[in-house]
Amino acid sequence: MGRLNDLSLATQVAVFGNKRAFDQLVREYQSPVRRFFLSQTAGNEALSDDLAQDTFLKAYTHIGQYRGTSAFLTWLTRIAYNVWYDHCRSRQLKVNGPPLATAVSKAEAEAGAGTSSSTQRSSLQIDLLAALKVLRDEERSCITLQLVDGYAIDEIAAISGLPANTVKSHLRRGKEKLANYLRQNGYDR
Amino acid sequence: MTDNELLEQVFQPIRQMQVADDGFTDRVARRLPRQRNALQLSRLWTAFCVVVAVALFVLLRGWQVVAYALVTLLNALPTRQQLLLFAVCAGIAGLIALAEFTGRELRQGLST
Repeated sequence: MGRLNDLSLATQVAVFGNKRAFDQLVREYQSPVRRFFLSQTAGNEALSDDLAQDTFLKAYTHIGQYRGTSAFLTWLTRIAYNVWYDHCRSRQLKVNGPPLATAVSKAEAEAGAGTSSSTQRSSLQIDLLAALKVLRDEERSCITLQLVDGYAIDEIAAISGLPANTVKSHLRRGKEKLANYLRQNGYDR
Repeated sequence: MTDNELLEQVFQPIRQMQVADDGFTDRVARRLPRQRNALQLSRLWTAFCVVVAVALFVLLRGWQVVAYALVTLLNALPTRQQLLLFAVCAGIAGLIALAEFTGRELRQGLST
């Protein structure tokens, strides 16, 4: 969907309250938004869907703030990042990350509770989502925004509100941790 | 294999992962709040301004000011110009009446 079309749909929602136009936007972008949350929650579908719904509701109530200067998906991802940040904060998880053992056990518990068979995923995808648990929250966000969603460093900085150098550090450390984890589990053969 | 190459290769399936809608859009649509859009707000604002203007006009006896201004204007004009002004006003009123009549005829013709 082109940026002009997105802008046209967003304008119809903001000016005329056209809910059908918003449905079109949701249908178009639900997959990348839910995939973003699946990556953050280590594959917890129920939690991912709840957070994705919150993201779209926030997008709906603030649609007038979308000016079309960036792609609609980038704007939506910024909201999704904030929703995830708020979720972590509301659960009293520091953005810098809890002690690793706590984070992993919590994510494992959530993944176990929320994974259903409604979305067919390969075992590699499930392994990888689980592997992301070794990363701290911000490292995971930066890694998935770059390697899954294909954003450049300056775009990740704009989405997360972090300085570009901090994003680079998170990416470097995150990649190192993840690559080590994957090698230990036989992924480079 | 470098770290980047390994991660690029391993993340490829996640990048291509498409999450099926499975009623997600409908669930979002059901939760959308009722909110006033810009058009409704604009109409409300216009209505508010009209009410305030009418109230001020009545409270401050605005018709007196309008009548005084008109009388002063007419008195200031020479007789020939008064006639000209009257003719122009009558012409405009005639045109409006003609347009209204023609429009009504047309609408009746279309409906039959």
